[in-house]
Parts: sequence; C-alpha cells; structure tokens
Amino acid sequence: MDPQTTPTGEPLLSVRNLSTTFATETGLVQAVRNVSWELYPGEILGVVGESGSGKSVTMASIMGVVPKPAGKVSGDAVMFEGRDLLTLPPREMRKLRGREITMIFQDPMTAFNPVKTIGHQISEAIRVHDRHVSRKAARARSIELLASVGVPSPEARYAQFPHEYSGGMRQRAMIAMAIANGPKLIIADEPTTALDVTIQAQVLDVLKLIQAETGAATILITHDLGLISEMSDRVLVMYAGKVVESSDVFSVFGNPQHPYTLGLLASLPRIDTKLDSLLSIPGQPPSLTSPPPGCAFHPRCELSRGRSECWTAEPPLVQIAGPTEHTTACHFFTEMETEAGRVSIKLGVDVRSKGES
Amino acid sequence: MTSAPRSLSEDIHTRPSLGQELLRVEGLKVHFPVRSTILRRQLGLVKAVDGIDLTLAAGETVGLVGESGCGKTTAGQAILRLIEPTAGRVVFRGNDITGLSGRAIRPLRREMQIVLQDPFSSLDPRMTVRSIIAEPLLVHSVGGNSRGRRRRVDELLELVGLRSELGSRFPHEFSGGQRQRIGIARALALNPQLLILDEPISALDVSIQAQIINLLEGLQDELSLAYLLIAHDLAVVKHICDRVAVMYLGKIVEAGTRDEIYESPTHPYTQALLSAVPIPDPSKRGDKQRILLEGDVPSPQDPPSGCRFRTRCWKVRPECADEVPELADRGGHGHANACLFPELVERPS
Repeated sequence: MDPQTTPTGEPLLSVRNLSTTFATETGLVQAVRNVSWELYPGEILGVVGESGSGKSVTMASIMGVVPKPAGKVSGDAVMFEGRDLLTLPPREMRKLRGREITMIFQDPMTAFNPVKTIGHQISEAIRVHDRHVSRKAARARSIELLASVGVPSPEARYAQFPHEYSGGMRQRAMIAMAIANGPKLIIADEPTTALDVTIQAQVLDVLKLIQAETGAATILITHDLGLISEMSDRVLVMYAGKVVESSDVFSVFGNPQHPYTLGLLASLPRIDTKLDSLLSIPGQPPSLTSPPPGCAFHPRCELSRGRSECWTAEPPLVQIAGPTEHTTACHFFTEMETEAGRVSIKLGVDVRSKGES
Repeated sequence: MTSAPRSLSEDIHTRPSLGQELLRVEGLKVHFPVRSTILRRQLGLVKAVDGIDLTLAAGETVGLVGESGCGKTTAGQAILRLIEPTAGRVVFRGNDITGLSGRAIRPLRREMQIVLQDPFSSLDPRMTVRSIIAEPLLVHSVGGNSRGRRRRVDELLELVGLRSELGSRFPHEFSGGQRQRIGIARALALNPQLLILDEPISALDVSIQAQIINLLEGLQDELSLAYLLIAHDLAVVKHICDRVAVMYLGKIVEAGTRDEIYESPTHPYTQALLSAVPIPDPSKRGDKQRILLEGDVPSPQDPPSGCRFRTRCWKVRPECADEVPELADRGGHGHANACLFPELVERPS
C-alpha cells in the first residue's frame, strides 16, 4: 500500500464553518458545530464518530436534505466545483443530487421504494436526470450497472422487487443506483452496518472496485474504526458535532493526536493482537442541547485531568508540526506521546499502527 | 430416558467449584413449523438449531458465534427453555431439565439468567429501575421483606456501577450503556451461576462497549459466574471467551479453545469469517488474504444436503453433498471441526 500523501490541488468539496441546529421540545440541539474540512478529487474520506457526533447531519446539510423547519443550516459556504451548495436554489440542488452527488444509505430496505422493482428505480434515477435517454436504453444501462456490482443474472433481477433481494444484494443495487449517473461524489453513510461480516466483505469489495473504476471521491461515514482503517485515505474524527482530529489514515491510526481518538483505539477489542485489558472511555457522549463548555470531550478525558483550559477555552483545530497535514483540537496534544505510552502499559501492547506514520 | 416425575437435586443452589461442569447440551434441536396462512397446513420446517453439543464449566466463558440467522439466539433461548427444544438434552449440574414441568424448573431459573441485546425494549418503561431489578426477587420470593429487597437492589446497583439514588428513575432517563447495566443488575439479582449474554453490547456506542465488557469481566471474577456469550462480533468474542463454538445454519462447524479457533482455524467458514473482519490498523492492509465468500446464507428451511456450508465453500468436492460431517477432530488438529477436508491455517494474533 502506498502511503497517502497530503492531497494537493483544488478540493472538490470545501466545507467552511458549517453549523446545523435542530429546534426540539427540549431545546436547541447543536448537531454540527462550526466544522470546516476539504475533500479532494478521487479520495476516500472516512468520517468516524459515535451516534450523535454529527457525522450524518453534516452530510445531510451538504446535500440540502436537513428536515425543515426544525433543522437550520448555517455557515460561510459549502463549495462544490465552484458552486456554493448553501445558497444554490432548490431546483439546481435537485439536479445535483442523484447525479453529481449521490448517496448510499445504511438500510437499503427503507431506501428503496418497496412497491417498485429495483430495475424501475434505477432506470428512473437515470431518466430523471437525462430526459433524452429512452426507456429501453435506460433498461439496458441499468442491467449493465447491476452486472457491474456483481448482481447475478441481472436481467431477471431487474424485474424483482426490493423484498426479493437479500440484504447484501440490495446494497449492491443501491451502489448501482448511486453510480448510474457518473457522480463526482459518493456519500456512503454506514453502508455495511446492517450486514453480516462475510456479506460486508463482499459489499466493501464492490465499493472499492467501483470507486477505483469511476474515480469518484467518496465520503465513508461509519462508527467502525476497522472499516475506516481498511477503506479510507484520509480520516475525520468527529465528537459532539465537531471535528476533533483529521489527517491521512496512517497518521491518525499511527500517531493519534487527540485523546478521544486514542481512547477509541484503546477501547476496541482486537482480532489482530492480544490485549491485557480494554481501556474504556468513562462517561457517555454529551447532550448536544447543552454541550460541555470548552472542549466537549473534557468530562471524559484522561489527559485533561481537570485542567482549567479544558473547560474554559474551546481548543481550535490546529496543524501539528510534521511532514503530513495533521490537525487536532486539543490544548495538550503535545502530551499525546506520553499519554500513548501510559495507555500501552495498561493494555500490554501499543495499539497504534506501526506502519507509515 | 424415563419421563417419570423428576425434581432437581437439592444441592443445585450450592455454588460449584471453578472448572466443574455446569451445563451440558446434547444434540439440541429447535425446529419451527412453517404453516400456511389459512388452513395452517404445515408447509415445511425451519431447522433453526439442528443438533448442537456444548459444555460450560463454572466460571468459564464460552462464545457462540455466527452470522444472523445461524440459530445462536434460538439455541440460547432453548437452553433456558424460553423456547421448547424439539429434541436433545440440556443438563444443568447433572439434572436433565428438558422434560421438567414449568413448576419443577422454577428453582433452576434462579441459577440461569439472561441479558438481552436491546436495552431499550427489554426494560418495562413504566417501572422504576428499582422495581425492575427487584422483580426477580419478588417472583422467586427471595430477598426477605421490602427492606431486605431494597438493600439487595442498592447492592446490585452499586455492583454494576450505578448510584443507588438512580433507582427511583425510569428507564427512559438512562443512556443505552446505563440501561444495559440495569439489565445486568436484574439478571444478577438472584445470584445465578450462569448468565446467557445475548449480544449484550452490539446495540451500544463504540466508546461504551468497552465499559460493559470490562464490567462483565469484573463481575465474572467477583461472583465466579459462567457466561455463554452469544455474539456476531468476533473481536469481542476473542477478548472475553475461553472457548468458542462457531455456528453456521443451525450447526456448530468448529469448536475449540479461543487460541485454537483464532490462531489455527480448520473449517473454511471460520477461516472466511476471521478473514472478513476489518482490522483497525492501516499498516496491516496488505497482510492478510481476505477470503471472499460468494452468495448468501441458504434458507434454514431448505438447507443444502451434506455439509451445509458447501454452497459457499471454495474447497467444495462432490463428497460434501452426500456426507453430513459430524463435529469431530478430523485431521488431528487438536480441536473439533465439521469439515470433511479440514486444513489448518495459521493466523497471527
């Protein structure tokens, strides 16, 4: 595997100071809090975080599908190929969605319409964006797409309904639909979470193949660090609506610079190495109606040890010194090496990746 | 076996010494009839569990691992007789409990409890945490008067890491991890010898999973509990279990110690399963040979003849369709497999 170098050139997608809130009965939920990041053409960006960390809401905000009026999206800009998606008229946005930006959802059973055949739905996705395609041509293209994602006997499968597909096959059909119009960006939100591990391996294989063939930039959202590690080029770690760390995958796993990232690694049972014990992250993810002051992670942080900076000042996302682009939002990231040493003693092994970092 | 009225031996409530056999499952089968909607004619039989053998010693953790639909949950419920087994024997400390009446089995329920996967649906939303945890005490008339029960509930809350004043709250006021702690406290209320853990952490957030794993491990040491862990997450099973049984379509395909299963698996299914687990270390990306299985798991209503895994096996031979491979140490690898042509594969771990 070649080490992923810091991407160069123009980003395909540039998110600048994006915030999303939801008005609920119990108060204003700050689901995404002022995040900024870039996505470069052709890369796979892994976004990792627990439920409620804001990873899915960030993507919904980019796609313009945050439920209104409860949800409110604000920010400087979300630039996609020179267009600001935050100010794009709904009509233009509709043209973009499903053509240039497409999505793969976690649960393909609810994402497909149960009363229409899979083939019909893929054809529809093609024809809605290009009126000049005949029904016949759309059908032929759909069958071709189903074949390309490894759906056996695609001609027969074209005429079947979603319930006649198994979970793995439905997810393949979903990928076929996502690539139907030659997208520049694919957002895959927990694409394999609902699948068994052997089926997950099949679907990931297809996803990798398709990504390599189409060259579309891909955002992979998951809570599974294993998936992130195997699939992505670069990684964003999200916690309580913010990006807390980002870098190339080798640096994030090999040299984590945020205590939350290290905490996740140290709490994970491993199949590839023997651990004396697991170090759990104490407490639980914070409420987003009233996130903790300062660093949102400080009540659970082992590194903070009650230091006042952690709960008085919000740590900015800063670039650490080094050859790679690596940012972290921790006041005391310079102590991370010592912290990792302490964790290694408790676990009996160093859980950080020893590869390129 | 005779079906004369039986009762459990008296000493069932004394704690066995560590390592002594606690539970033995022999040829357990659970078949569900599939019936037509109107005339209720039997159309077929789903063989959810189709003859499994298992033993569990006091203080030990055995993992039952497999993908969805392999029958692991049904097996766990049949062991507790929450589902009636179709055939086979479940022996708890020398007492065959399969034929026992509901009344006769009751004392045994104190010794075998279950923790369920979903901490949201397994707690009654209208009961306080205190009454949820005290309910088993009431049902089995143990724990003395209300003051005694109160003391016991406080003790249990503390045991699972919850403050006792939280007892007066309702389940919805708790997070998933805390609810799972409540479920564990309830299962421990009667001081059982065996806990069946049915996917106890898979509904929880990543950062919370380790908390519950550590809690379960601590409780096991403190209370010398035996665990039967039913799970699909191979890394979790590896971390907790002493011995592991791998299930596929209602049958155990490989069984052995943790190290035997993870470091030298012999059944192709186990090998494929292990190779499919994503590893959170990008530097190991190129290291492993991923075995990609083709197709889906066949329907348990109409399983393949012979070896049930043969339709997805890359090493399949004609013999596989004819002979049902029983679980045995075929090939002399030191642990049992259900493959006619087992091959040991060394895996780093």
